[in-house]
Amino acid sequence: MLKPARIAEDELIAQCKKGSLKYQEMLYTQFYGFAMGIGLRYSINRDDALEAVNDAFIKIFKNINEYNPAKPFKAWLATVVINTAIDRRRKELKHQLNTDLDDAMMVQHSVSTVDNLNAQDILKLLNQLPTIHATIFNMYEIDGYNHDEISQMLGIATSSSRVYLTRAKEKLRKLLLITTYNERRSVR
Amino acid sequence: MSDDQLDDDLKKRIKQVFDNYEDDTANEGWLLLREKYPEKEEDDRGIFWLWWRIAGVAALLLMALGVGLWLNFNETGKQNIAQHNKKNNITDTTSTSKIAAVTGNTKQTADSGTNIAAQQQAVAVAHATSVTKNTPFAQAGANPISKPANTTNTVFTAKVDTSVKKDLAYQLANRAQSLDIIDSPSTTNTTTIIANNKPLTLISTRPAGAPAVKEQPKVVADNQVSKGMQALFDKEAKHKATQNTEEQKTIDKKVAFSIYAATYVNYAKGSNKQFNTGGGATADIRLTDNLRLSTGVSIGQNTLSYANNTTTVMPVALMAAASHNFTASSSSLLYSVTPASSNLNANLVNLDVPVDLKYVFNPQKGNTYVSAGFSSGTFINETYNTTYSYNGANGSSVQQSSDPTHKSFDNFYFAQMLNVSFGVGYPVGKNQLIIEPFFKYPLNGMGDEHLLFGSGGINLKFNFDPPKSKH
Repeated sequence: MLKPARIAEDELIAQCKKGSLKYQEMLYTQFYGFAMGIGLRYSINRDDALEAVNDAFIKIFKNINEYNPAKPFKAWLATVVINTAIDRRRKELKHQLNTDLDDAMMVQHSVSTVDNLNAQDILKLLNQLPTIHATIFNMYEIDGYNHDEISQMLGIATSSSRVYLTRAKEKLRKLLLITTYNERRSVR
Repeated sequence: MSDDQLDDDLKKRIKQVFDNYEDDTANEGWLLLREKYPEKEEDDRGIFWLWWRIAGVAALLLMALGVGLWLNFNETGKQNIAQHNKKNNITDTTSTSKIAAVTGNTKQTADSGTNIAAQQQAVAVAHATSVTKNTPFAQAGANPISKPANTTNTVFTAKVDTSVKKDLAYQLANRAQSLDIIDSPSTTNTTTIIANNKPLTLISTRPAGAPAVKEQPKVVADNQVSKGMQALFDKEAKHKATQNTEEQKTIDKKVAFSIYAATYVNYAKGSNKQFNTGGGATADIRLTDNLRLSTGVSIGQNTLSYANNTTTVMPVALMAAASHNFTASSSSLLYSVTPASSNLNANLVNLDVPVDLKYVFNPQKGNTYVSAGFSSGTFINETYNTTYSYNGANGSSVQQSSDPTHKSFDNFYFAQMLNVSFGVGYPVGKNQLIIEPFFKYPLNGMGDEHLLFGSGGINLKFNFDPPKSKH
C-alpha cells in the first residue's frame, strides 16, 4: 500500500519550532497512531486516551524548542504521553482498587492465544486490571522503565512497584486462561 | 508453557501490536486539540505581535520621515537665520548710528546732524536741495560700531525755517506707517527718521549751555535725499542679493523626494515568471556630493505559480501541504495514493522599506547613478492556494483538492532582499523623470511559506526638485 510521502521528522520539527500550525498538524497526524497506542494502554477508555494524547501534543508544541534533536522524537513523545496519561489518572492511582479476580478456571493455554491478540483484546485485558497494576505493567514491561523510575513517577515505594507488577502479571495470566477457555468453549 | 514464557510472549505481542498501531481518527483528534490549542492567550499574543510588527514598520517609516523633515527644517532654518542676520545688520547699524550721532553731536555741539549708515559701506552724501542749498553735508564712510562716533561720526546739518519744519511734519504725518520720528527737544532736540527701511537720522541739538540763537530744526526728508539715498540702498540691495545668491549656492537642498511606479517580473525556482506592478515613495538624503542614502516605502504585488511540479522541485511548504491534504481526507482511497500533479499559487502584497546607498556619477550635470542596498518589510496580504490532482486507486479517476490560506502582517523580514539598480534622470522643468532598471535578489525565504523569490523590472520615478551639489 502506498502512503503519502512523509515529511522528514527534522523538517517537521524545525517548522514546528517556528510555530507553523500547519506543520504542527502534520506532526500530530504523523505521530497520532503511535501516541494513541501508548495512550490507550494507560487510559481507561478511548476518550480518555485521546484527551491524554492531545494534552501531550499541546505540551510538545509548547515545548518543542526544548527538544533535543539528537534523541529520537518518538522516545520524547512516548515519555510525554505516558506522563500525561499518568497525571490524568493520578488520583485514581492513589485510590486504586485491589480487587482480585475470581479464580479462573485453570485451563491450559496455548501460544496461539497470545499471538492472536489484537489491540482491542490487549486493551480489554489491561482494562480488567486495577489501574495501578496496568500502569506498572505497561511502564515496566512495555515501556522499559525500572522500578526506581516508576516509584518516583507514581509516588510509591519501589517495593510496592515490584509487588504490583507481580500481581499484574498473575492476573494477566489468569485472564489469558479465561480467554483461552472461552475460545475453546466457543469452538466446541 | 511456563509462566515466564507466557509473560514474554504477552510482552512481545503487546509491543508488536502497539508499536505499529495505526489510528485513522487523527482528524477528529486534531479538531479536538484545536479547541484547546492555541490557547486564547496565544491568540492575544498573536494580536500583540501583529501590532508590534505594524508598530515596528510604522516606527521605521516615521523615523525616515523624521530624518527627512529634520534635514529640511535645518535648511529652512539656515536660510531664515541668514535673512534674519541680514535685517539685523541694517537695524543694528542704524541704531548704533543713532547713538553715535547723538553722542558725537553732543560732544561737538553741532547744530544738527544726520547720520546715514549702511552695512560696512561708505556712506554716500545726500543733498537736501529742497530744504536749503547751503546745507553742508559731511560724510564718513566708517561703520559706527568699529569706529567711535566722536571721531568719525557722520554729521550733516540742514538749516531750515519753521515753515519747512511744519511742511515736513505734514509729510511725515502722511507717511505715518513708514516713518519713525523721535523728537527730544528738551535736551538734544533730536529727530530720527527711518523711512522705507532706509535709515535716516536727523539730529537737532541745542546744548544746554549754548547761546540762544535762532533755533532751527534740522530735517532731512526721504524724498529730499531720494536720489543719493536710493543709489546707496540700491547698491546695498545689490550687494545683499549677491551675498544671498552665494549663500543659496552653499546651502543645498539635502533631501529630495520621489514617487515611482514599478513594473517588474517575479522569479523563483520552479515558478512561472509573473508580471506585476507596484509603487512607492522615496527620500534621497545627501551624504556627500556623490553619495545619497535612499529610503522610503513601497507596496508591490508578487505572484508566483508553481505549476505542474513534482514534489522534488516544489518548496517544502508544498510538500507539507500535500501531506496535510492527504490526512485531511478520511478516505482510505485518498490516503493510499500520491499526488499526480500539484499547483501552488502564491499572491503576496508586500510593504517594502528599502535602505540603499546611491552613487551619483556627475551630480552637476544630471542624475545618473547606481544604487545598492537591502530591503525590510512585511506582507500586507499573503494568499496561498494549493491545488492537488491525484489519481485514484484504479489509476483512472482524477481528484483535486484545494487548500487556500490567507495571512496578513504575519511575517516581518529584515534585510532579506538585496536591491541593485541603475538610474538615468531626464529634466522635466525643475524636476526630473528617472528611468531606473532594478533587480531584487532574495537572501532568504520570505512569507509564511518561506518562498525564495526575487524580482526585476523598471521603476519610472518622478523626482521632485532634485538636490544640487555645492559649487
